[in-house]
Amino acid sequence: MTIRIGYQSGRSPFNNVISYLDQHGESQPNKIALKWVDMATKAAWVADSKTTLIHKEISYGDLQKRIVACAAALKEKGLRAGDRVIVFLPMSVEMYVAMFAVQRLGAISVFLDSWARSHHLGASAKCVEPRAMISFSKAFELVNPIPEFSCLEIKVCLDSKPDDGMIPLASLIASDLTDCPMEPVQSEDTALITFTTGSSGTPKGANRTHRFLCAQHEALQETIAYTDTDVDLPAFPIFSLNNLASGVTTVLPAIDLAQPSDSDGELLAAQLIAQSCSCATLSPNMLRLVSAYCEKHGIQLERVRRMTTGGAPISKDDVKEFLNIAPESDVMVLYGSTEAEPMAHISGREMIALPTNEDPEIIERGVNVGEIYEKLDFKFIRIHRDPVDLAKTPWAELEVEMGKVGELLVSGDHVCRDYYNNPGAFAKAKIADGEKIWHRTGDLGFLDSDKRLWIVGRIHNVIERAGECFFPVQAEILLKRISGVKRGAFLGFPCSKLGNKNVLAVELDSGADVSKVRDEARRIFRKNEIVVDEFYQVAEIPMDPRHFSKVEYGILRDKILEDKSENLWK
Amino acid sequence: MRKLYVVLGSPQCADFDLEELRKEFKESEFSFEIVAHEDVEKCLKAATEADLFLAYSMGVFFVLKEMEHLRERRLKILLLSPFVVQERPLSLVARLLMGVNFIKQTLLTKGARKMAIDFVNSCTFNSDKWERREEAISSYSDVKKWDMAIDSKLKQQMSSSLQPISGRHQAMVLLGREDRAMNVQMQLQALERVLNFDIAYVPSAGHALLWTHSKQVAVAIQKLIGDRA
Repeated sequence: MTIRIGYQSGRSPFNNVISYLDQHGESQPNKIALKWVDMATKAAWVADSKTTLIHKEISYGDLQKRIVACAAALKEKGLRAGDRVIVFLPMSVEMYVAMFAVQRLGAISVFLDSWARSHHLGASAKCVEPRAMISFSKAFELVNPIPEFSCLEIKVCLDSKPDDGMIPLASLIASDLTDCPMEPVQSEDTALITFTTGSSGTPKGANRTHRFLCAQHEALQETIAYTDTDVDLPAFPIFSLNNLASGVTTVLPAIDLAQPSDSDGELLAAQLIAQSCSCATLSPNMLRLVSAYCEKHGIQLERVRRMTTGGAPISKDDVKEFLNIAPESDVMVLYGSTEAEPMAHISGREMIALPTNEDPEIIERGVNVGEIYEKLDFKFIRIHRDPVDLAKTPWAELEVEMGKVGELLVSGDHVCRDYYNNPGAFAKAKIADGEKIWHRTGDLGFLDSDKRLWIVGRIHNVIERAGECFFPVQAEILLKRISGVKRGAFLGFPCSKLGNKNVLAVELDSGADVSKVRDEARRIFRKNEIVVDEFYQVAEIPMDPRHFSKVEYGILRDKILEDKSENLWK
Repeated sequence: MRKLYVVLGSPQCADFDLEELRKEFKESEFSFEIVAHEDVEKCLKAATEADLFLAYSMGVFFVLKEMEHLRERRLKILLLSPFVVQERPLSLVARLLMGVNFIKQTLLTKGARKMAIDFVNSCTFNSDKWERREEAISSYSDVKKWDMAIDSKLKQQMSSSLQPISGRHQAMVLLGREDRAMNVQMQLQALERVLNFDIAYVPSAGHALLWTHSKQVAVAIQKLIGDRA
């Protein structure tokens, strides 16, 4: 009988999510688990892209041995179940060994957000009170003077020097210890905490329990299934974890995920080709870069059978461009978030084939993200910006009629139930419904008659004008289609009469005529029955710095107001 | 008299007064030369008499760049709120100009001292508006919007790679504990270029600690110079 990992009653080693790796280490010890490019090889390739991109590799058997050795050595150093361990390392084999070794002991791996403002470091440490940290010397130098890190008792360093008082990570991994049984845990014990960027207040650490991680793996397995022979290149760490739990060969991206670069397309394409990857998981921006590079150089990705993408809207054009350079493949567009991945999915070919309005100038009011994952419970509630307490506001007052736009709520085993040691974040993002916890996605959407989920915007971007709601997604797709528009945004400006005014902002291509763009926008928006009150030309539409795929509305609004830009809609 | 070069990231920054910092030293102790990126190369190559380089924010990039040419010397460098990002030079320049533009506008209307106080206060009091400005710094990839020309030399400097500086130099890194202009990644990128350094945080200081926490900066200078270790 197959044991379902993460679903055992009481304390059990089979609740520990690392049990998946034990199984692969025993059943397929010689299969390659990870492949990666070392720094020297990458540097040589950057200097001359004709250089062969040689990948190093490790098998599931050897990975398992390293994890056990590292875990046993950490145990000898005093690490115990429940201890919080900051793992701050680049995406590398060492990072995975360290993280899994910690979890094998029933301790908790904590991932800080390197994109967070530096003053959040102390706040994150205060939140989790780490007992140990596994990182590199510069990171230790950065955190050592911060008082909240004074609780660190065990410091493990990737590049430690003699007499620096830290434990070399290599010595733990190379220890000849082989006896470190899997720590039994409760399914709802925390396995992993991942901090996300916030601009103020206490940083939010998603509390990922062993059950949550196992359920997420099951959900991803059902949504994007792998075969025994697949080789996958995932740019998102959570997908690498899923791969390792699935026993799939994983190629680590050689690009610097912290520093997106226009040359990423070339490097990713080189890896996909060199390693004969059959699958990959990339952000929409990375996908566009790979497509553009391959298109420009006449390259076909013949081995790729599936490209998974998500994290930001992706257009039919993006899908078509990728299918042009990988004609044997399909694109799988996932809709999900840190707290729930996946929530819905749609195949790229299906997306392209969806019927559209007979008039090509009329477009839908949102993005079709496909079918909601079948094991996910969901609801839509009216726009409600404050925390929800069901004792005060029952569902009957909150829920919207099916088919109407509302905020999407989800609940299920692979939905993160809370934030570590942060009741304030819980109140804002969750709704307690007896034993059930609902996650507020912050996304506004509706379900169509074919049970497909449409996302029309974020709750904080909805424009409430004269009692009617307007959403940016549809308007921005329309703007993108207008010749001369490089980027466009649709946002609300406060207005004493209407509540909000509907404002269009455009960044134009070089040489484009703003009056022609405005006139075309006037015609096309009237046709789509979208009211516009003001129109501005801006030098640049600000985008999120991380993925460069979402408009920063607050910044754009401030800039237009501060510059006292001229309204060209008159 | 000892020579102290203060290296800032832009000509506009170089206009700022360091009156408070000067007050921390007797007139005879140091002579201050305040320079911006346009003058750094010339200044550093000729600056054999310099006792200490004090580099602030983007100025750290330029000092580290010049240090590559001064590997044989043993220099003392104080790095304040170091800011080093590469590979997306336009984004980098946009960040620089965003900050400079804001500071310049405030400087023109309120004066440097008031500007610095506003700057750090907005960090301390967690102003939403400032938070959005901070986010804006990293949200633009282009700089046209700032109406400030970026000279080709600056672009070239930004695009070239930065090697770790020699361990012969002695460096101290001073960071504002409440610095919201920097993320962890950027700070690490700066530290990775310096092989031999001590690091300290100034409690309640933001990114502009050169102006707002001159006492602590003066103590760091003295410590590095070795007068009052």
